Amino acid sequence: MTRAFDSLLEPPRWTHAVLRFALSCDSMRDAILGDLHEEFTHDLAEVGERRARLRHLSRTTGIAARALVDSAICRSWVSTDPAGEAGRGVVSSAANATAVGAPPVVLRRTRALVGAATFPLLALFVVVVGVVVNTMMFSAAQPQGPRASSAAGIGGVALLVACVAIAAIVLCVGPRWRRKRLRRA
Amino acid sequence: MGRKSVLGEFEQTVMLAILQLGDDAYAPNIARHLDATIDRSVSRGALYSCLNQLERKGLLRWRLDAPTPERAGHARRFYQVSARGVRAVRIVRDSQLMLWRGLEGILGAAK
Repeated sequence: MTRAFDSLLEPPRWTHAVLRFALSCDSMRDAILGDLHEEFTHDLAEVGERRARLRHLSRTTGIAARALVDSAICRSWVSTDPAGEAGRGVVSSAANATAVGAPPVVLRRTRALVGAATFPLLALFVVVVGVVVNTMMFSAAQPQGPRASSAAGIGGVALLVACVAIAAIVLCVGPRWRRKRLRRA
Repeated sequence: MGRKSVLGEFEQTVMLAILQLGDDAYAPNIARHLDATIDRSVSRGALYSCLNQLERKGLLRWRLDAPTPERAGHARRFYQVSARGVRAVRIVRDSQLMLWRGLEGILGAAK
């Protein structure tokens, strides 16, 4: 009972999972998780549980979205050396190891996404969208004569092939990456 | 670093808030300070992104506090403006003051 009550007064755990996905594993992520927890506790006392949860959710999504955008434009949130007074923006040794030895953050995140258990569903969605768009293109092009129809047909078939290829790659390679990751863990 | 400003408007605001907060400058406090002093509500994503950029430019230094139970065992990250950061803020202030000079007749005296 007490345990259930305590868990109600904590920020939702899935938001931490979202941040763990979006942020590199270093002291900055640790500090952000702590800041969010502290602000949640502060809001809880000030505005009540419901609004505190809403604020927490809004902060988490804002941080995750911004971190992913920054990472996509090669401005990943990687900690610099705290003693880097010389001010060259020196990346800390631990972060440096990941930055030099590992692929870019976006690529790593994409691989992680592809390796996720729910990704086959996403792949299926891509195929369905491909088929629907293909059908729409065929039906829209038909009244405009044979040339337009054949151009749309080639485009549609190419789109369908691309969708199926993406889905096949994802379905074949995704589980392999997942297995590899599990083995490493 | 030349005379050219290396700080954007939001970066200037954050740097000034950190300078004002002194030893107590960590992200939630910076946000609260900006909200209280200039009535500017800051999105956490923008704030952390800005702190990261300033850190990478070498304008900020940071240190970690001991983890506490109120923060679920996570350490607090305090920021401090580096010597290079102070120089950058000074350059921005000087160039801004040049532009503000002689406008009292139009804008009135500052509060």
